[in-house]
Amino acid sequence: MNGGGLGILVGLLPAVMLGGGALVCAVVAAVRPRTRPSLYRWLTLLATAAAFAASMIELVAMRPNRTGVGLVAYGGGLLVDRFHVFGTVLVCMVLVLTVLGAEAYLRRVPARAGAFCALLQLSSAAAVMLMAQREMAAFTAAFALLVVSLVLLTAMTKTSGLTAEAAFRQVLTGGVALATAVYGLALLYGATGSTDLSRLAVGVGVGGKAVDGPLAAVGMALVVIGLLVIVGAPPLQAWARHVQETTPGAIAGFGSALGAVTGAALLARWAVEGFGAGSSRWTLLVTALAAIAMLGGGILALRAGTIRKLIADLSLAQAGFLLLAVASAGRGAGSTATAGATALLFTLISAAAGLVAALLLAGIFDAAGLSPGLDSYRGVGRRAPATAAFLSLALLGLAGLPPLSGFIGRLLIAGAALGAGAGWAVGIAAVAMVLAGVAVLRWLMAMYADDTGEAPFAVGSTPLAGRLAAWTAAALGLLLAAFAGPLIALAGGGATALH
Amino acid sequence: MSPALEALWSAASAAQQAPRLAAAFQPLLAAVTPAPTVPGVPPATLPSPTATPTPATTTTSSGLDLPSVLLSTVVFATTVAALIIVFLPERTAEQRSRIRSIALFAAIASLLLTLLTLASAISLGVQATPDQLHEENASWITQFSFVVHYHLTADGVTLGLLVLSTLVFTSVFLAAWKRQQRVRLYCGLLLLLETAVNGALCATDLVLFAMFFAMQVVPLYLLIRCFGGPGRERAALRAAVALLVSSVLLITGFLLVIVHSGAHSSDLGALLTASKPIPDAAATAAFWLVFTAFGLGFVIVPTHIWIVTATATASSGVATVIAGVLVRLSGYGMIRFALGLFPAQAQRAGSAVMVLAVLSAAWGVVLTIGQRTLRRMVAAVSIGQMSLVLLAIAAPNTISLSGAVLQLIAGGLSSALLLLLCGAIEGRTRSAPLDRLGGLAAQAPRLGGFWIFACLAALGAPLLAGFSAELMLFTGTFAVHPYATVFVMASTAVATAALLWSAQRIFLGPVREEFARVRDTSALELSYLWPLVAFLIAFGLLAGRVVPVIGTGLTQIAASLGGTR
Repeated sequence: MNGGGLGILVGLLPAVMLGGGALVCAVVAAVRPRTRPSLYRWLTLLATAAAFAASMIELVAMRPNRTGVGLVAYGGGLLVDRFHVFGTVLVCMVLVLTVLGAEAYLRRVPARAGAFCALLQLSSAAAVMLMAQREMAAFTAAFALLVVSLVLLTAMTKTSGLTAEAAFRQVLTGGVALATAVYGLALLYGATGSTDLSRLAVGVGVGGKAVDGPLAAVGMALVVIGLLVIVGAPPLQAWARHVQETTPGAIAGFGSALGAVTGAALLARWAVEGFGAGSSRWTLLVTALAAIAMLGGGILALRAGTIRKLIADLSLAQAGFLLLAVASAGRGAGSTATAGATALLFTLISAAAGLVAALLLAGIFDAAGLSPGLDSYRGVGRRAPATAAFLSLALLGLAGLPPLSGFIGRLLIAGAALGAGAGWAVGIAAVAMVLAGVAVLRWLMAMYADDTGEAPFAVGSTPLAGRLAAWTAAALGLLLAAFAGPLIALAGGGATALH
Repeated sequence: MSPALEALWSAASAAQQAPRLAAAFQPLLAAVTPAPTVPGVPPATLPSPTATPTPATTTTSSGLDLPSVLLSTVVFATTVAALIIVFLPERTAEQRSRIRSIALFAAIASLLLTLLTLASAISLGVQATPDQLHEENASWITQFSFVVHYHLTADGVTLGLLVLSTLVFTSVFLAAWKRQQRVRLYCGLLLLLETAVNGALCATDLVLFAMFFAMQVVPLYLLIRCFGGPGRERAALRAAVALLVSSVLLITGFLLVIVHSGAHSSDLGALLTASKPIPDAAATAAFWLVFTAFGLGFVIVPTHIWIVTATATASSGVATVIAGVLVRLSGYGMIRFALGLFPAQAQRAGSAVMVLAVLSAAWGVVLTIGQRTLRRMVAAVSIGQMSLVLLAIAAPNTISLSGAVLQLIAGGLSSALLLLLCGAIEGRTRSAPLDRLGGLAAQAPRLGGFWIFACLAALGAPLLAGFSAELMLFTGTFAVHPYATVFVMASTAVATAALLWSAQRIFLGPVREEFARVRDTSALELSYLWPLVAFLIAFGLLAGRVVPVIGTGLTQIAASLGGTR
């Protein structure tokens, strides 16, 4: 349906709910600075539930036409479809897990609870907005909001000088990403004469002029690189590593997972839908970067000396797999393209859950006084069996080993890539999987085999809710695998809308 | 109805078939008659035990159709036990005993259900349909470019190996009954490993198989690394890398087939009956990927090193699982998938595979004779056994393949028996090398008797399972590769004779002072040694009944091979 005033409101409802929640948290924090952190947590959960409900309303609203497109507003600039709904639900999942898992952090710094929750919701609202945008100006504004709110989230933790450095790096890289994307968009505007992405998709600019040539090619490349920064993929992935290594588990998990979800979904939306399926211009670049990320992440993970480094390296490899799915969706045609997009959306769920789980669990060990080095983790399997078991599960999921959902995601991606004729990238993906597997086994060995005989320690410094959230996120890897069928069906619905 | 009740119902229904057992006797040679091929009809259109798309049900006497969950119970009973024991404490002896009991109970439950299914299959004979053998087939992932099925079957090939797997795991749990340290981790990992093996044996969907196959990596790595002897770090890493590489090659090969077949399904039955032929280049690449993947776990030259090292380094129970089950799983995969999916490519590669078998057999002899420790010697004997299976793959026909499957079972049982005995001997002699052993028979005559029996079983002595297997292998492969067959047979005999000679070095001769107080086999040891002995004899004596059942699992492969000639 084409949106009038009410339609636009419905389309923006999830973002409005999250933005409204952020506003309420900010106002309460400003007016009553000594409010209990639990109130902010409940407000955030309420706003997330409202955003989720709004997404479901959108889904019901788009059911009659079966095309997966619910609302097209601003001449195609705002597009609410099943792809957007899927992304919104994913963002809500990450937000809920983070809010519950961040309880320890909120208790430690109650004065910042309001700002923390407001920023969580603001960045989520920006992500939700972004996934519906096909108009350059609105995209730029939402992109800037996302980058700024994520940077502020990192900067406000101030747990150490390293955190401040991570925030500074994130500011710089985020700025570069924004500038690169905007510059690319400007070139695309020059090529098409319009800020509407749909013009680019059909290859016809204003006045019937064909969109081709170096201007469009360079513009596409710049936009792709700008979006890759958010995913945490090469060439500008260093910021993600620093954030994951230095910030508290909940914040690192949220930033990484939201970045991966939003960045990959945007790439799919802008590159696949906007730059046209079957294009070799951007898919070659993305496939090459995917190969570098997968292989680089696997090799780096082999030598990771701290648990945070290991997670960062595995998430780099994970980003590579996500990019391979995007490229497969772009390279293929018809069912192959849909397979790539389906693989991407399914993998996004497991990647987001895995990242949040691993970083929350690492945060639990941090809070218990365990240093992040490999030596400190020796014998943890006996000293804190439940948390260690869930951390093992999360790491195995990130590495993509069976029987967890990460494995199914990689399998789907490999199938889509083979179908799209990227056999060489599948070969590299296979090598990367082995490397990541060996890297995780090295840590499991330390946790279970190298028992130093030290006394068990309590992980009670993290509240029960926080531990439960972390355990749930880790167990999601198993549950998502068991219910892979229905979830892939949902992802398939979202993927169909993309094309 | 709860799944547990359904499982009991399925088991009861299987037991009702027992009266037919007496009528099911068929002579051995009738079973190994080549499968019929209809002139002018492509072999892929022949009825296949794995191609039935309908979900399996167990029809009760009341006419009520219930989905069978027997195979799922066999596969996942051990997972449930593992999940339970994760949450149990292990501070006191009583708590540790509880953990061991739960693990043993799950393993025995899987074994009994498997035996029930085997009895049912034997009673039904070659007429057994997948439904009657408790096939489970449900779509798992449908909304993708290909459909993935949760498809478990227990045809003859699977059932024989499933008996081997569940029996060996049960024996290993019994052998670990007195373990006091880290019982929870040991039992939990072994239970997960059993799930992976049983799942891989039952899975007839390629993706499902790959998932179960790759599930071995983590438990096996930790079992070797945590409970192994000196040099376990390197052995565990080698094993993990080999299995990871194997899994990745397997997945890549399978994906190539799925994508190029046009069947839009990863089910083995659907792929075998796909109307669109796979391009030869893709099929050849996929064949070599799958062959290499299984070859890594097959104890053949040149990829045998990690298995020999792992068997020699791991604890006695884990070594038993590696040589008795995991190596045989790779053999099963080679027959079911490398040969079943790519009959034309396998036949083209026949000469190369034959050369590999000959090299492996020769190297197996050299390795066996050169070993100074018992475990390494037993591991080296496996090389010879598996080279026989490889030879059958080089000259595939119904007779040789039936022999190969029986050899996998017989070899697995004899290797398991030998390695459990190794553990018993090492426990008494503190892992002394071979040249420092001797005269144990005076103190431990029963142990000596078991050892000699196990050596004879590995050699393929008459009335034991190995004899029928080697006879069929010889008959089936001699016509195609006569010189290679004689060479491999002779090499295997020499290697096993060297093992038999070890009996003299260990048990005979003057009693050594340091072993003067060695005691004979305990009741606990007898409890896990006797069942293995009994099954070696049973498979030997009842080969005429077992081989027809094995043949039901080879129908499709034999038909495909007939079509490619």
